[in-house]
Amino acid sequence: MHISEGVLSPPVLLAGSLLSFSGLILGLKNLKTEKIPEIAVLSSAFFVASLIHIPIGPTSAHLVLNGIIGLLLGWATFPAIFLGLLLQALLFQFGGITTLGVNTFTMAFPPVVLGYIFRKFLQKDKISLTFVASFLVGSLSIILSAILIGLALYFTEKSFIPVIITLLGAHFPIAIIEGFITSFIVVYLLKVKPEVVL
Amino acid sequence: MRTFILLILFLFLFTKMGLTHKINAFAYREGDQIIGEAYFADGSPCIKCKVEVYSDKGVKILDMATDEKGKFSFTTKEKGSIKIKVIAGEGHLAECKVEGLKSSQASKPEEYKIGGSKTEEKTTHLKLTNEEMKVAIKEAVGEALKETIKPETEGIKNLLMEVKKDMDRAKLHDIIGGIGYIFGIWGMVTILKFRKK
Repeated sequence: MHISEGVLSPPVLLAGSLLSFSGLILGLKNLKTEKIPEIAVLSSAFFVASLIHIPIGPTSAHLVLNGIIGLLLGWATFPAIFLGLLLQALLFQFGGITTLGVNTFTMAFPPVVLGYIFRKFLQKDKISLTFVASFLVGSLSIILSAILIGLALYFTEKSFIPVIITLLGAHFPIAIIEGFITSFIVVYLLKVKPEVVL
Repeated sequence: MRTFILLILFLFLFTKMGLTHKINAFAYREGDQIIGEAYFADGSPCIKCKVEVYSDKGVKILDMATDEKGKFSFTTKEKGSIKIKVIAGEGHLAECKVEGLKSSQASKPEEYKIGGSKTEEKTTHLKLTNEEMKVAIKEAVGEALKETIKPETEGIKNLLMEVKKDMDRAKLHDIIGGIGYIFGIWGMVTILKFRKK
């Protein structure tokens, strides 16, 4: 899910950076001090998740875990994912410094929106509803991120549908896996420490 | 909180076999031939990936693809440095540069060619001048040297490739270091927040 350096045209990079920058400002402005440890843990989970590859047929895709971050953090997802991506770019050369803005936006924006839509369905006494809602956040985040990446690539590759199809094909299994991971984490957190989720 | 710590530990267990989609490319020159390889961060080959070759001035010279082992090779007349782009789709791209031939080396192949055609022609007539003799000997010795050195350089090149692949792999200490950085940075944010209050 990382767009490498040198693939995108400058206008796309600039637009991505501006969008991410506004997201970062929003995230940092609404930051609650007691939320910070949680953000730190989720950012490092995101940082490590990209190294976990799940082989699917001939190719493989890595976990992203952006759904759970969006659901738990809201706008603070932007700084969390930005930091994870920055360190991935610096330490492993995944993505790149110039594409940081685009990558941050494509991965942080869908879960933030989905988190806001589905958060009200998370209720302590309705476990199955919670499970379904968090599953949807987890899997739809991946699918929408893949579509956003396809859109960003469209401006350089000029072929939208084939790119989207390959991207969705590669990420569909990951979307399902992430859906389950998100559901299990949210349900467990609701039982053990509901104030983190609600 | 405990689940998160458990989750991270769980994730850690998998990082050893963790691979990523980041691709790398490596290429070197052998006379007129450029030989290269493209592979993912875990060292697995980049199969049937698009390869684009650009000259020093940014003009596209060649379009090709890697084979089943992620390798590619082509011959080129380009004497300057060459830029190779490997594209794996989905926004994954690797670039590598092959240095140009040095001027003394660059002139050699042409010399060979002239010499080669001439010697072939003239040896049949057994009318070699002193100058042409020198060229012919030079060529023969050069050819023989290349032949003897080849197995050894092949080994060194393979070793270089392995070392390069190993360097590109995600390292455990980088992963741990990265997590440390994240906690450190958020810790500083916390301090700043408390200072304001």
